[in-house]
Amino acid sequence: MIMLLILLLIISLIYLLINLPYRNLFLLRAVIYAVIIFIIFQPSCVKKEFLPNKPAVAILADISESMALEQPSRYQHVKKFLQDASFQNFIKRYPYFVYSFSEGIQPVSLSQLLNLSSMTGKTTNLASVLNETITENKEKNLSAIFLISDGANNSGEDPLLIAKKNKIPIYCFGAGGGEKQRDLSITRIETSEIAFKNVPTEVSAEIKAFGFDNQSITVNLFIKDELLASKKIKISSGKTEKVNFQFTPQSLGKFVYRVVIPDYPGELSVKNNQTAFLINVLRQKVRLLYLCGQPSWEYKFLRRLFKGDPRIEFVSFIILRNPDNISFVPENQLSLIPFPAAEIFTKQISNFDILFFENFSYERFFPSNYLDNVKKFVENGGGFIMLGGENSFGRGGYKGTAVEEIMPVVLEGRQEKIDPARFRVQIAESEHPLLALADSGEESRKLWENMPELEGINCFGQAKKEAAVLASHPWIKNKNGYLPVIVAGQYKKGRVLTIASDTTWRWALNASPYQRFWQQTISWLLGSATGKQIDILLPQEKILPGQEIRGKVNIFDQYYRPLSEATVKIFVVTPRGEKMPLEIFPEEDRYEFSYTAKEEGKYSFIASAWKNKRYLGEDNDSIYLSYPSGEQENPEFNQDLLIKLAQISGGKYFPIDQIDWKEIKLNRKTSQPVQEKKITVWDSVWIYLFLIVALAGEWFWRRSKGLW
Amino acid sequence: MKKVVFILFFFLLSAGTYGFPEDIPEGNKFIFAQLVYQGNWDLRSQAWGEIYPLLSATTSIKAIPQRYTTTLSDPKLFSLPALWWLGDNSFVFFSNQEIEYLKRWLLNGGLLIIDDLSGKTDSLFFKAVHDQLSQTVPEAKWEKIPFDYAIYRSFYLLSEASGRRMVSKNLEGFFLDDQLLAIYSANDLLGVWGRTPLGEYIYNCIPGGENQRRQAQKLTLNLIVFALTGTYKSDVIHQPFLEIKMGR
Repeated sequence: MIMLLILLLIISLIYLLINLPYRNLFLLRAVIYAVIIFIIFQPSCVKKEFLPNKPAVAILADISESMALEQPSRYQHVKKFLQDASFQNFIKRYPYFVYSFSEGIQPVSLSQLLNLSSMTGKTTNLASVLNETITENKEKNLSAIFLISDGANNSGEDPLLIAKKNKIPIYCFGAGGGEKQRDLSITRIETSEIAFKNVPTEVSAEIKAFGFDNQSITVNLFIKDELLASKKIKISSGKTEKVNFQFTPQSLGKFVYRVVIPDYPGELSVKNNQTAFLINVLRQKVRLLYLCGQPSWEYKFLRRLFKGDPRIEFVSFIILRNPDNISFVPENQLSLIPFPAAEIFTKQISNFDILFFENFSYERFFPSNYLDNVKKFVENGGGFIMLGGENSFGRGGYKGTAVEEIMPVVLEGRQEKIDPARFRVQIAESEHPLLALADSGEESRKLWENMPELEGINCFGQAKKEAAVLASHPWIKNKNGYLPVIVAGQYKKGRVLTIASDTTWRWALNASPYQRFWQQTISWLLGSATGKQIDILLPQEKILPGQEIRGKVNIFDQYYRPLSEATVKIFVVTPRGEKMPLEIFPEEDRYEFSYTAKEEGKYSFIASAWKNKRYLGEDNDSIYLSYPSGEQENPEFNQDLLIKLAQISGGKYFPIDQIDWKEIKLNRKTSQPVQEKKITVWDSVWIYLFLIVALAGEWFWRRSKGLW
Repeated sequence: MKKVVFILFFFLLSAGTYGFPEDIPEGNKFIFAQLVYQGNWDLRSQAWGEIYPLLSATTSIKAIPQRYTTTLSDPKLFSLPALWWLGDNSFVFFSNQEIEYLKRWLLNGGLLIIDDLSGKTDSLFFKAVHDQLSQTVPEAKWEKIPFDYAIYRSFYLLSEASGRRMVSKNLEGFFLDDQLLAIYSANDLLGVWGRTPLGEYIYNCIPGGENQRRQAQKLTLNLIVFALTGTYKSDVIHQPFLEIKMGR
């Protein structure tokens, strides 16, 4: 504008001082040029508007779950407050903004608050709520906050710090504490997400009470519906007691455990009287029990191998002396110990993962009905292996027993022969997980062809129909074909292997892949990842109810290469026990699925697969969803917090039904709020109209004067 | 003709004792095998013949009655998981191939049981054995075998080493980490076994007499049981029972 004025001044001076022909025409042209130059520079100006100075109020109503407690509920008091004439009259005088809150704020209307029927907020985060309110209303002359709440803050930072920093008066209206409150709650569970089978593990729970004085209560630990442990504690108001449980998981898998305390009449909430959590029980070490009928090279070399493997806990018993042996010294000069057969076969057997019998005949040590426990052990997923020798298989009296039932071979009886000759095993499938001595089938086959010879073979009858003959004798036949040497089978959940010789130590001494063979054998017996053809993968990160669970299923062929074009079915079992099929989406060599879980609890996913009608197997995995702890843990009406918030911010505290409105004074701010507005002058329509008229006028004037 | 038959008879008889058959049969049974080398290797040839019946009578071990012998360059070494090495003097060191075989055999689980027959402390045999094995497996070390090691409790409960001559109360071990590759006895252990045709023991035991002989015989059996069972008697399950038996 100054520039324009200067231009006009210059033009005026020229017009007045210099006697030009057609001075008026000159003046008009000069003004046109001045306006064009003005437009080129795009000038603008800032206009300040002053806003009205009335103080505004933010009304915050707590809608978290704890507001549903007590009778009548805390929120009923809030509704009564909002409908109260005194409140209505007060609030009419000021601009106000209404929000509901729990973990954050949500703009609502007063009528929406009055019509609210359920409290849905899972946590209360007053610090975040205050921060958001102040930030949202920064430019709106916010002079006070009305906080209508029970004060049961349970997440986020300390709200007192926010109140202190911002200095906006908070008027707190406490809703709650109307009846004599009492509550017991489990506030915290400490445990590892992973435990190990047969290894003691600990769970500790913190119990908090208010309204109870020196009360004795029983705290129980359940797995599903089975009581695992119980402890009695004394609890008093305002105190937190810690309870420790120790238990030893007996089975592998993911299990839901619960800590439960009794419900008492009049408790604010009974939802917080039990807490569920998931523990994944893994195998820490493979527990292998080896029973050996007499000291042998086979034992020596296998012991050396297994003892040197940090993944294996090796427990063995060797029969060092037979009843027909004599002793020339007193017993106390011998290091022999009694063989605890009864203890092992009636109590301890389930503590092991794999059972090895080498040249061991049970008959001297326990009755045949103990072998039923071996069968049960395998049925429940244990691995069993019998090696050859003069006391093994039929010669060892196993014909017709529970052990023959689980074995993949049919036994001959006590007349079972042992052929003593040396031989090199003939392998059926060099890429089978048990027999793959190298990464490629070709290399593996060559290694087997050069393996040192075994010596001696137990000539049992034949392999059972469903068994897999992995290796056979090169020339000795019976009516069923070449004598089987290594036979693998499955019995219910467990796996069984028979090796008709006890001289694999020859492979060790000759530096062949002895170690690899036996490690693969152990893995296969365990049914571990190297033995499974189907594997479900679930996400490891925490998932909340309502979020999508995205999982994958990997399928492998018998040589553990990824397998595509398999038929895969997957089901989900919900916490209510409903089993539903899910859609599978094949992606290259894996299969994906997704499921959105709506509620808290354990969700199990079960997948099975087929290839060309051949059943490949099944796998399952579980995930436990829960909301983060919050409202149910600390439902107590927290008047202290509300009083402090009010004091620290310069506001006041009132119980919600005892408000003195005269004490609430909202002050105008000393500095007036200003709104600035930028106005661009150069694009005004009037300037362009003036230009058009001026240019047209100049043209007509020249024409009229005969000038071009 | 009779002479021929007689000679043939003795030939066949001795064949059984000296492991004449090339192959080593009966795969999982204990085999008493002795190392043949360029030195005094065969000074206790009768020992196994006396050990075998006692071993069979008192333990559940199934053993082959014949004694077998092998050199380090013989591939049948890899069918013999334990080897007895006897000597009383220095010897010609092994060839490169023998060292290579021996090393492979030891690292794959073979066990050497070395018996010094000299009756002397720091004998020439002792020095040669130490040097030879240290050259073969340089990473392994010689250490005294502690008295609570499994050898001393593998079958009989023993408090120290023994033999025909009490040169040392300790056995020495050649350890690669915690794997025992070789056991050395300075006390002529197998010397306690030999008998005359009339049944009397050939050698006296010095200084402990027959009591010392019994202890040495127990140690021999312990070594055999140890060869087949390793550190079995060091397993935790045995300890409470052993503590009671040992009066602790």
